[in-house]
Amino acid sequence: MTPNLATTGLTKSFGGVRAVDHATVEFHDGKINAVIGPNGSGKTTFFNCVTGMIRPDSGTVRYRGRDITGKAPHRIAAAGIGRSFQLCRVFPRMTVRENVLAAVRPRGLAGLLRSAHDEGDVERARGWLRRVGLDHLEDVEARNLSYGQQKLLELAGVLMADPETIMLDEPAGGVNPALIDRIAVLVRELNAEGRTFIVVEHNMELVMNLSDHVVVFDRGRPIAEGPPDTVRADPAVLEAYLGV
Amino acid sequence: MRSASSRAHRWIALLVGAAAVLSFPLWSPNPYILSAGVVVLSYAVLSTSWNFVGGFTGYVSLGHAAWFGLGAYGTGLLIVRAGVPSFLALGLAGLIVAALAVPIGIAALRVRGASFVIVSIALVLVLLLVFQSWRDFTGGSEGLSVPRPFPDLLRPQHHAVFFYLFAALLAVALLAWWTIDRSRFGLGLKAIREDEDKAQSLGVPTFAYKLVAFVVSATFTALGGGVYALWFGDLDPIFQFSILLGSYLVLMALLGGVRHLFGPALGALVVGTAIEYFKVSYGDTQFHLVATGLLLGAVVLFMPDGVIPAGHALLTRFRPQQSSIREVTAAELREQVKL
Amino acid sequence: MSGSLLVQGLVLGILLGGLYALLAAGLTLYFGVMRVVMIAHAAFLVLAAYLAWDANVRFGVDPLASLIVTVPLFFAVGVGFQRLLIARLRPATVTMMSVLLTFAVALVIEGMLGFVYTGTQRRVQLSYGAASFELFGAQVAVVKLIAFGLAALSLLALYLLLTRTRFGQALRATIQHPQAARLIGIDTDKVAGYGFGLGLATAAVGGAALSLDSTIYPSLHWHWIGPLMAIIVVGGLGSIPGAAVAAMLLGIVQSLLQLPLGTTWAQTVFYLALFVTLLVRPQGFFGGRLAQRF
Repeated sequence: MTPNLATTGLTKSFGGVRAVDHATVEFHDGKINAVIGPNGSGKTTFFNCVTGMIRPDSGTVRYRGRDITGKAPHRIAAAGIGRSFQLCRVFPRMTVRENVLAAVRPRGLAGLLRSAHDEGDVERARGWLRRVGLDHLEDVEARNLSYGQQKLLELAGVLMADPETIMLDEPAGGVNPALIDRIAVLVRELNAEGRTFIVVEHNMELVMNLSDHVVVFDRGRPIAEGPPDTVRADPAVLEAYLGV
Repeated sequence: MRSASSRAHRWIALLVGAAAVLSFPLWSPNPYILSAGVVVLSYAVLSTSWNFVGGFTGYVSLGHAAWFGLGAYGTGLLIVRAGVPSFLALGLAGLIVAALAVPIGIAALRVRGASFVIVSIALVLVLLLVFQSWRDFTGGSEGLSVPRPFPDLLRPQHHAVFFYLFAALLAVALLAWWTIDRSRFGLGLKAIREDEDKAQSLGVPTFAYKLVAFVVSATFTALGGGVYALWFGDLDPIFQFSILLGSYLVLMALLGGVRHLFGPALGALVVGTAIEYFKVSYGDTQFHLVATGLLLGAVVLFMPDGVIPAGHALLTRFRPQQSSIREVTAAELREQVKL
Repeated sequence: MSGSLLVQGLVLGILLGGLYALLAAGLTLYFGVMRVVMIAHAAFLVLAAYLAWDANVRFGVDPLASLIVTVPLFFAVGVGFQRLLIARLRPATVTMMSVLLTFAVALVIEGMLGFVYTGTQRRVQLSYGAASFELFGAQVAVVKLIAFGLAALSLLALYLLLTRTRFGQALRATIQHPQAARLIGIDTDKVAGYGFGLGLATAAVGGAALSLDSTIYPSLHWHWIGPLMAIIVVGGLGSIPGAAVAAMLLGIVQSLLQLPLGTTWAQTVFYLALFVTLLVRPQGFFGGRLAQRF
């Protein structure tokens, strides 16, 4: 197995609370990886440390062999990792189209000064919007979309940056079952096209049906990993969730 | 989507406006009004320059007069203390301020929101302090006299020349703003304004982008200060490093609308004319402080997006109502409910 | 600097620091309860000083007597200000817009003061104005001691209020976590209003203290708001103890630098501290976990 994203001894404390505690984990390249665990097990903090939003106290993060520990979020994005947020974040007063176009990474001075609505970029943006089903809302300001539509918009923006690895933080959170299905289908399609996924989720049905590899977090570190069926039966996992 | 006819309307309005502005020196009734026009134009330059940071990134600088003062004194000091010819001094002062803006920006942009505003105020206050105290170099509270670049010109011609100089500077600033506004760089800046952390996670190098906007804004403001120094000839720290001036700039930009190219210039026209008018009618009393404060407060409370959107909203209330109930087909409704 | 001058500077610095601490605490209160940077705080300070001077000139009373009126008055104004104006702002942009709004208020106050009292510099003439006291080998003006005493008493009262009363607990809860406070039944809107009132009350006290010793003029507030804002950033936005510590420290340093560098250059120490804070630790040095970033 070629490691896609791997952390070694990742640790982050807030005051006296150790949110992430020497987390060492390897995610499988080309697969759909899931990160599950009870509330407060440190999943989102782990995500934030990996994607550069928080600087870890110690430990390393390696992506495809390169050390990306503590790098700024935009460098991590440039390295090929995209992420969505637990409470979906879009640019509220920009249009749907602009939200996606913002992910374009200009090169050089000429690239910077070129029109944001360059035809090639707009076509690509439309392609992603079509794929998530928002192309009919191109000119609508993001703040006027429903929460579900904003979630799809966030995804389209992340995809526009053409990431090899996509980290989704609770993609099924706060949306209805039809949309969850839609997102699951999209994830499977994109995975089949070669993108690696790392998904934090609470929705067990989604996790079991969707993922190839599951990592279970408890109290800031992984306590079990493996295929969904193996993990489901692991007594340590049951103990973590049920406190039994 | 803009129709061809409305685009034609915009071009016509632009040309008419430009013609009106450029011909002003010819039809202004007397030299005093012409000089008031120069002041209003200078305000337009300064508030448009402010808008590189305020409009694009949403970072509000209340101490922007710091750059105005640095440009003015930079130009003046280069002429008076180093014997540099006037317009070379102007260009050099611009470069020096641009260089200074880099380390200052690196420090200031490490914070956001309220802290950034505090830092901007602190900047102008500390510069005021320094320029007032450093008597030997800057002339302190006695001020600095800057020799005019064209000493043989009569007053009306002097005003006219500088009217056009400011107009040229404004044109350059507007062009730069327009270029950034439609560019990918500009979209990145606007993303910073909307959600800085999200922008970063999407790959926007937020710090570098902010710094560039900061330096561009500081430089244009400083150039405005330099031209002012050459025109007015008398510099005083209290008037150059003035919090009141800084608040005028913010008021003008807010009033005119920070998201529009001509917003700050429009605001400068309205507020600047009012200021000059009050100066004539009421003298330099404290009233202008009260008026500025009240107007700023009103804009913040009632029309934070500027007078153009507020006016637009008001107008649409009076226009014949478009049908408010959209016709939705059953199929569309099913689509929407699915989400 | 000789030993006695050093002691002199130190003592004066502590006295000054006390006043800064009280005012910085007030400034922190506004930010703590509502994320509002109250630029008009110093303008209210100067207004209170003018009112104290006015009372002294008009009625012949000691300027401190004005506190009887100004403290409750400013408290009420603070509550009203929060309710009417600040609460109207959209929550997403409240910090930014409140800066502009309070800036506008400061301009209006300065303008009105200039209008009513003109720009002439004013100073309270006190019978004990020139009297001095010997304290640890330093000659200290009595008025400075009284000002410090006033500030210290008010800070103590504030401390007791915040730590020993139920209202104080509610206020601290609202500052730390408004959502959680609401969940346990605290009326955060009302508490925020009172927090604001408290903040302005500190300005009232500060103003009376200021009037004892300083020459006042309408634009004086700009000399205070700069250092005060620098103090709260250095101390850590949102932390009252942080602000108090930073205030004391910077007050002492400013005072010590006053003799070799002169008053105006000594004031730059605040801005220098601000610059260093930004570069090294933008969230402030003394606020601990309570300190806000931005």
